[in-house]
Amino acid sequence: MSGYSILVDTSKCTACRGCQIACKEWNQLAGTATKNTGSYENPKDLSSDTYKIVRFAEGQGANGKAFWHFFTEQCRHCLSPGCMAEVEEDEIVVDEKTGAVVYTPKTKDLDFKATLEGCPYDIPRQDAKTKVLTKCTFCNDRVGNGMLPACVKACPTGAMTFGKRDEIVAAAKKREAELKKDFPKAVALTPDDVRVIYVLKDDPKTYWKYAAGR
Amino acid sequence: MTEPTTRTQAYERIDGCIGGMMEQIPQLSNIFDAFRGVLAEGAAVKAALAAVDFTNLEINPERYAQGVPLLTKDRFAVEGKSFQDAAGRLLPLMEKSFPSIRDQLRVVNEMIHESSIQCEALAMAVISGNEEEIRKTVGTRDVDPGALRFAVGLIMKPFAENAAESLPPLPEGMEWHQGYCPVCGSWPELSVLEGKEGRRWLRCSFCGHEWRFMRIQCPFCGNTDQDKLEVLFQEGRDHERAELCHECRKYVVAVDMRDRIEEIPHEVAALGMVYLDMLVQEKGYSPGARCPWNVIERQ
Repeated sequence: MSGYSILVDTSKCTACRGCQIACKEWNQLAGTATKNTGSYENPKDLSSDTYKIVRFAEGQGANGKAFWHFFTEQCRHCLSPGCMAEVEEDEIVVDEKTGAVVYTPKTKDLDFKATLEGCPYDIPRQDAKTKVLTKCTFCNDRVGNGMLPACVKACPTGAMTFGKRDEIVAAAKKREAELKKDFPKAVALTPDDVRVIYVLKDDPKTYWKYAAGR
Repeated sequence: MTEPTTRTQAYERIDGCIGGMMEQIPQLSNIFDAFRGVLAEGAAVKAALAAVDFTNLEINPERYAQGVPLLTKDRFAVEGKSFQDAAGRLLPLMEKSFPSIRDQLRVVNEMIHESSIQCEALAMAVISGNEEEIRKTVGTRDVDPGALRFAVGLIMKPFAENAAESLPPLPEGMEWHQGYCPVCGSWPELSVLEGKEGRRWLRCSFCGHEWRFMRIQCPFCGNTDQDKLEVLFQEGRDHERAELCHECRKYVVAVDMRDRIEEIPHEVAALGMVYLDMLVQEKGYSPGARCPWNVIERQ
């Protein structure tokens, strides 16, 4: 399986949300009206104008210590995309060169509910007016022109890296092994199944309810 | 980036890269194609060379700090037989690629293979820019000095790059602030921005050594007035640019790798921007370093 992958090393993420803003900017997505909910997580969910958000999760770990986890959520670009179950023609396509799972304007004809249920990570959203389904594009327009995805370029701490799939998968597994020395629950999330591979220090559920899928 | 380990890998790395340039800018295919075989074969020649022994090299930190490069040009001398072997592989490719100077290249080939002593003297005369010695070596032969410099320069390149790569690491604390190469003193042919912070590196036009340099400074005249420094690029290829200095009217081509996915072999990156050489030279700027492909004659 060739193409590209993104490694998200959450142990290096400071939740600056530069990736979230870069995604909005590159994809020319409108700003979203927000309100203070007592969390920095803002807006509260993905939408047709928000392809990527940083989830904030706080609580008390099994060791009794407080944790504050950051999880920059986006489409995982699955190798076998569950969201494509309802596809009849080319409503959703996989770019052979990059591996990106791309939603076309024809997704307006898809059954949104079925598409959403097909995604283990609760990612697709629908534009209320046009009925077109939306999500992270893998910045396929940038990648196709030899440029890094906007979120990866914006990341100032090196939490997000982009590269050839086999190299990123190897890097994810290596990072998992490194983190395990200090964090026994550290895990690389299903690197053989998805292109956007998260490495976590703790139980995925403590980051986001769908971090490892439903 | 993994360094090529075999001649075949070295060849394919350059050959593939220039092939990519031909696909991206088909209008300049003839230029890329002309240099493709020579530069790829040059990389293969270099991959087969043994490291140069610099164990007796004396490094003087004070002189270095004052801007004196590590090596004088005579330290790049090449043993005649090795030079002849490389010429035997590269000159036939040049003859094929540059038909307008084919006859002259044949004469150069004859000169190089007449005697190894003459060949060593010729190489040294060309790399040290000793025009009198070049004229003496050429004698009555019908060779244009420009064609001679072109051919010998391309043959010499793998040896010079190999020598620079063979240098031992410098002692800590030795810094270089000049726009010319700290190894051989030649001007840069390429500027590279890389890393999240956009560090600027210059690449030597002779030995290929790369060194850090100020982001906002002309390497050629030292000008730091940002109002007199300009970046020119073509829409749609804004990672490739020409860095102009209005003070000395010189430029260097540059590649911004900050948001690029794939590495570009620095050896041939400047060739890929030959379209910028054309544009900028038309505006009256001259290249800070002459490369085989950036001396453009107007008709």
